Amino acid sequence: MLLKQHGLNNYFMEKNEILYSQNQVPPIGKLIFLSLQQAVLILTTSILPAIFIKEISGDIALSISFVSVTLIVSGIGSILQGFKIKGFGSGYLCPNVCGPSYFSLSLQAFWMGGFPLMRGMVIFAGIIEMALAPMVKYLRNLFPPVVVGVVVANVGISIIPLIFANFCGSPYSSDIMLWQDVATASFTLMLITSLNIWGKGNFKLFCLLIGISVGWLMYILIIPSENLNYVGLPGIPLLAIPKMPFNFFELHFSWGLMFPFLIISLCGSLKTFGNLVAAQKITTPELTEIDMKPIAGGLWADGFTTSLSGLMGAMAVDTSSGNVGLAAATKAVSRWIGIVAGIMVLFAGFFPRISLLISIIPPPVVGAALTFAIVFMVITGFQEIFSVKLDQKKIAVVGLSMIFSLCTQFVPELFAYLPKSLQIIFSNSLTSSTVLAILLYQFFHLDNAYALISKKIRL
Amino acid sequence: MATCFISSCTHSKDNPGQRDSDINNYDYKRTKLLLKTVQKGAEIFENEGLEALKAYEKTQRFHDIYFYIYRKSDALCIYHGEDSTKINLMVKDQIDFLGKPIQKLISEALSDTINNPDAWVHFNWPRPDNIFPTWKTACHRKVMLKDGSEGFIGAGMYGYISEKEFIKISVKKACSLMTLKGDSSLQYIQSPQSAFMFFDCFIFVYDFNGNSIIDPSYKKDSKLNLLLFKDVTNHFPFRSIAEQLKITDETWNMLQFTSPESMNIRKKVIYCRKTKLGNKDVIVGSMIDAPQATWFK
Repeated sequence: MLLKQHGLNNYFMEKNEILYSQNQVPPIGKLIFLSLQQAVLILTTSILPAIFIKEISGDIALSISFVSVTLIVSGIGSILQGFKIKGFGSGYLCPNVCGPSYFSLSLQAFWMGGFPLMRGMVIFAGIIEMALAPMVKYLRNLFPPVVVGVVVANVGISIIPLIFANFCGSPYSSDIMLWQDVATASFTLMLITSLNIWGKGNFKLFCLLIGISVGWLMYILIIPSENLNYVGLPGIPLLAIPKMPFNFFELHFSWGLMFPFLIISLCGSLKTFGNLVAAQKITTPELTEIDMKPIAGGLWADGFTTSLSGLMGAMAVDTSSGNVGLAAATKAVSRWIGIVAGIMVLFAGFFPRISLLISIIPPPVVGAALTFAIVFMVITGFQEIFSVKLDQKKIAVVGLSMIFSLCTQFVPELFAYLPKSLQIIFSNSLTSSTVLAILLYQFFHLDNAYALISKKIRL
Repeated sequence: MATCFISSCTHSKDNPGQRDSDINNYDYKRTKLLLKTVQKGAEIFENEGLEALKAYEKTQRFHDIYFYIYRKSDALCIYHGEDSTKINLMVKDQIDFLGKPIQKLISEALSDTINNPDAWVHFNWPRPDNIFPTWKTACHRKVMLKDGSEGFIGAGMYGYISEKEFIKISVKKACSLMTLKGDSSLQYIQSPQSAFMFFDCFIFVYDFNGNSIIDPSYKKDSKLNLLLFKDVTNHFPFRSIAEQLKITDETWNMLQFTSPESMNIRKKVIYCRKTKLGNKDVIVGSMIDAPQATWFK
């Protein structure tokens, strides 16, 4: 509306711009490569379970098994999300990855009680999300387009620190940027973006896959010592069934960890909610308001997958903003792409050499790929915000929630002095923006509610 | 990350008498870069001379790396890229802000090729353009000077670097010293002038019953049984270390704590070794802030 008034076209406004729609099965060749492109993006995050095992001083065998199990669960989650069976699953291309949300708390649970406690608490978090799923249907009034827009934009914004750390090749605070890292990341990003803008046919469709391959090659050429990273690969088994070092039936719970896991589960649910809403906006742009049914189904499937992670001893997985963004960029939103990508990731879990090879894609290349993908996530959020006419109230809701949520990214140390119960709201921009946007929207519209009630009383 | 467990890259050095160092022991890019730069600087200086080294140094200005070269016998400064006023001065008795004898520590580090193959030295020092002291960490290589005498080349980086390898070096050195000198080494190990105190890291010593000999909290007369200490996650780090060291000679562990400046729990990495102090088996360790992910605030 407003965009059209200003002569601007909504990027996803036209349904016929979508290349492969939600239920359309792309031709086999295209399906395989589009799925591979999505799978590669999922596999790049398998570095997180490897870091986890490094943190707990685990050995190579444990690391391989842990990465593999996590990939298997990611694959299952991506497949489930693509289906929509009796309200279970969203039916959108919204794959699962091992995201950073649960990293810190899982580590804490491990230190307190090893794998049994970590598994127990992750199962608990998944159950919370599953319990939330049916309630989402009744929350439609809390999520008008401006609030949805703020949430979706912040799903992307909240992972910018992770992406940028990769982009600069600096995994640790107080480390340096090497020109080789920045050059590789910049080149890869420009290549992917250029192919997406000016590329034709397959070049446009597989821009990310081409960009990652060329960027990876460039990195090896300009930092030859990085070739040594691959020296140990032949020693890794090609095919292996992951073995985790715990009794499958031994699960522990901790009352002390219940509250943190409850909160992180709510945050994870919000992130998944944002991802699913974005997937819905991209897949069905003709919808004027959110269809809560597939969102609830998606949350249910996501909660189930999180619990499955705990049961199988994997790192908790949740939905991937990057993959939704990639779908938006390529305009290939068919759920079959997500399902086939899930199958690929599931199989990668049994081929540790392949999954490890992809997990050591240079961080600057991963950073560039994720930067490209996340652009579409953030812009989808902005478009949702501007899809309605912004009056003073809505401007205040969007502006205030964005400013205060960005503060959590810019000056997190300020929020460290808040009481523990409030800290969790300001732990990242997604939670703070969602809470603020919902509260502010309701508060600024109290006069409307008052007017409505008065009118009814007079009648 | 993945790199660390599937690769094993050993960079050999040309300098005789020095054990090969493994660049993959280090977590930080800046540490690796400094090490590589000093290795290359040593090669250039020995093969092509000082002018070639200066030209190479110019290419490293982006990373704030400057070389210095000293003659070992009398600490005559042959070259100093960061502070040219030091050139041709003899600085044998030079000390840092904490009283650490810099040249002596470098000399010791260069000869301790088993524990400290890259000759790391930490000192508290103001930058040339600043009056406040800051930690500087430097690595060194032996070089042959033009006149045939022995010298060394080094370069450093400013600031606190949570490099786990630094505490490993420190603990291994402390164990060697304690084995050699027994109880009399303890006072030196606790001295701020020694190589064992840098950043906020120091050596602690306790026995297998949890009695501290040098307390990790640095209390002189601590009565705390370390085996009973648990961190904020209910983990017993010192008990776990003692149990591990009954079956192995060295171990890594973690201690987590809360900090008012951070919403997240912070971590210290602990490195410990088992050694003899007189006839008694003791645990020697040190801890350093765990490397923190850029995105994890």
